Amino acid sequence: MTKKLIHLFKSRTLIRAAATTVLVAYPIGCFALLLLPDTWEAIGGALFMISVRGVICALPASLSRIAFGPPVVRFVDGTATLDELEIDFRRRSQAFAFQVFSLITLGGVMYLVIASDIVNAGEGNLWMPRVDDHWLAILFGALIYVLMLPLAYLAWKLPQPVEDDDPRFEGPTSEHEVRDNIVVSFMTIGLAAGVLFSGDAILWMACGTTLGFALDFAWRRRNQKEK
Amino acid sequence: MPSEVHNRIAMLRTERGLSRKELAEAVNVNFQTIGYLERGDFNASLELALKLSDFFEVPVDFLFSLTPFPTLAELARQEKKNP
Repeated sequence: MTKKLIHLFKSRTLIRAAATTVLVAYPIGCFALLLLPDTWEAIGGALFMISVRGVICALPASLSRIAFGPPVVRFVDGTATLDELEIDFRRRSQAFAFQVFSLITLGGVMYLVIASDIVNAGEGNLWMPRVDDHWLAILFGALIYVLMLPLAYLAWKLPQPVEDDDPRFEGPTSEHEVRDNIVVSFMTIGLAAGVLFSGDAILWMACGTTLGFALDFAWRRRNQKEK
Repeated sequence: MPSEVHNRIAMLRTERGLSRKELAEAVNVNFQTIGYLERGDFNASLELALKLSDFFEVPVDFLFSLTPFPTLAELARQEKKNP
């Protein structure tokens, strides 16, 4: 039942692009928004919104059942378990995410130790998080990286899907690619319109996303009736 | 580096007129896993290998091998040489 209501992005290219974009665009966007002069605000804001769009595309992806395990599997397709290949890739993606996240955290903590030493000794003025916005950016960054790193690993490392010879096949087909692209196009148009015309990119992107999902839902309902 | 394991899953599945989905349901895996196995992207666990050999009613070493299986043309040539 749930499967019929949720649009799961199945295009491997889209999931790869979305997860990678988030991992790159979020830190650069936050850096530009919070630390650079005001002239960089528009670029920082656009990168931030692009990373939000990436999260919206990557989280409801068909791969999230593997990345996040049994509770998500039940929610997405009603089955209780992953099979041995999926469990194997889930473990690999978690190990990869743990290693990368640990390295980033270690690097960050080492920087803070050195920066606080220098600042407290009055020998320089290195950046340190001081206001709420800085801490929130770090908190959401950690959350985004925890969610996106396993998905990015799966999107790049899981072998390309195989098409079945069964007419009941529900795997990724060219039709899924088209549907994914329609939803993402509406999202992108909404985001661009928000940035260019109103400055309220979130509202416009939300409208575009809702419209994209609604169209997809209507398309699937029509297809089901035809069958 | 794990060695490449060759299998005859695609051949036996086609012979029996099964779709990947039907075979996957029979051995309780995702149908993509059957596709990855057939394509050589993934090596089956011992449990899955036993389930598959049980399903096709053939010995495990008929289904899986560390060396490439001879093609039908090669088998036919061998048959001609040693009838």
